[in-house]
Amino acid sequence: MRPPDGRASAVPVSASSAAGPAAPCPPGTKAVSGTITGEDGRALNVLVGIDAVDSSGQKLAMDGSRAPALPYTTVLRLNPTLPPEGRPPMPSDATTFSACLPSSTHHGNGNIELYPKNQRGTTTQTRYGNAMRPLPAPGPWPGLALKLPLVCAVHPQGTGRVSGTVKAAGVLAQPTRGPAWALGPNPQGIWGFAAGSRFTVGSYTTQELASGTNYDVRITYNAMTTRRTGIAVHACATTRLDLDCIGDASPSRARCSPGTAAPSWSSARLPAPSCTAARTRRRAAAGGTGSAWEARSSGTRLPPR
Amino acid sequence: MSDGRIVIAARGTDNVLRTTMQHLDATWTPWTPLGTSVLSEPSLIQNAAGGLELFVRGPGNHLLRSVQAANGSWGAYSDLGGTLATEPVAVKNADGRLEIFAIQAPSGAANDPDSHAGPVVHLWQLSDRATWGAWASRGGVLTATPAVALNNDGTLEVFARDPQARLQHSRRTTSWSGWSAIGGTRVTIKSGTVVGKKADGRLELFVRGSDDAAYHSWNSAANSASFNSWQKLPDVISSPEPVLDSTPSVTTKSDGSFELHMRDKQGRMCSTHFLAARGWLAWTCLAV
Repeated sequence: MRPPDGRASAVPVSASSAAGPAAPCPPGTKAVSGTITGEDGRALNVLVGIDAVDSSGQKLAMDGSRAPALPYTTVLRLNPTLPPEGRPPMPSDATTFSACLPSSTHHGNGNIELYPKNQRGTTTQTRYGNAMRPLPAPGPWPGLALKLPLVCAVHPQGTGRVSGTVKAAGVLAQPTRGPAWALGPNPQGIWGFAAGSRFTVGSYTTQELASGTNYDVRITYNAMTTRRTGIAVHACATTRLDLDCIGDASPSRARCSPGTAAPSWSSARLPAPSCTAARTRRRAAAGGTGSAWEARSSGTRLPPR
Repeated sequence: MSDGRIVIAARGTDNVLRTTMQHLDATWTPWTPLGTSVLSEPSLIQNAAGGLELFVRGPGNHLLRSVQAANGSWGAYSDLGGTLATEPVAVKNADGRLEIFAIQAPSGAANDPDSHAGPVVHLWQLSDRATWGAWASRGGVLTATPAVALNNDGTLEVFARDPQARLQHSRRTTSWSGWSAIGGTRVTIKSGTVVGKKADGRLELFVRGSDDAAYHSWNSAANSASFNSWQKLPDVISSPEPVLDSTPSVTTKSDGSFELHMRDKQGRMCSTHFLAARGWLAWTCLAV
């Protein structure tokens, strides 16, 4: 089949109902397969991004060539017509997935990322948060049971968040990226994952994170990333993590208010970058649309370790 | 430029630098893009031969350099390496060699305790004024773009804010001193620092305080390492007082006195200047 991003796939990739058998992988490829449901067993509208890397840590395309600019090695979409809340599984719902990764795949840095989607393709965390799963070397990886965590709004032991202030040289600053990755599974076996954070001038708040485990949080301001690991996330709670970064003497005045460009303060200075344009670029990179969340962009993410 | 025309370089909405310069009739050339997207505002300086050079923090936190040709065009960037966390600051030494200062980028390693601050690093031209040495660290725990000035006796002064919001300085005579705090603790600094040199050779420093007012401090004597405590600016009370919102920008007038410009929270350009007979005059603010 053709992945939803339109790229041709040389080896089988599929999503199917519980009753439907997955096609076997050709010799020499490495299979990754399993089930994808909500933490409560519901069938979900979900985007599955799979990253395959070689032994040098280089991202691979499905034909085995190195492709560092690809958002993912391959992308699957399960149940695109379901609402983001999913539903109890019906015979027609896809709850399994499989992909045949290039033979040169040597996992250790690669992983699977899962995004709950609405029917328009927007990442929507009204009932579920994101999840991920590292793929330890050497593979294959059959029989994975992947689950998306229930958010706090629907479960008292649901997701939490990490949030805090961001300053540069003591002055409130606006970050540009803020992903987080679980360092291990929570007691329900879920690895939480935030593709990004919501920003204001001087603060960030991650997306929903599966509770009961620790995270690697990376906040980027002015093209420098401050990384903190071992950040515990608790059910229905916000973990505070304040950051102070190095700053320019004349920092950008960019303010990401909807539809506005940042003011310039001197006739000799050109306007600061348009926040609208920046958001549009990030949405395009994520395959999601319409979300205010900063989302995944290719080529800059480090593996969660 | 060496003929007195003004050149402006600024970062555009696409993070590409653009330059413009005056014609001899004082009209301006169109803005012309220069190379790849960058990560900071540029630092412009006139070299010993009278030409202009431009330094900026580029991709990978490297220092990029471009040199203006005699016809006014700018050459392609050359990559001078480094791992910069801030804008670069260029200074011309007494012997004409250029030297670049910045704060070093944090390692990005997990739980790096210094990710909120870094040492000052510098890079300088060798005696041929054409080749560059290797990056060196001057140490320190600093958080914002340094300010650099050359005393009349050739000593170099470097100033930068520390995580406690104090101003630290280090000076190079025949060797470098350690970092020491100046200006006292009365002011919590909320901006970068700018430095000007008075007509008599004394240095004067300008910052914005946590109360969004401007402060200054100056040398007790030319070439001295001693600075007085911070004093609020201006000397004449403005009514109403502008709430300032930028790092100061200082210009030296033809009589050697200073004029200070800052943006306020209404987006206006506010200015004050020094008159020997009256001190620093009240702020005047103009909408831009």
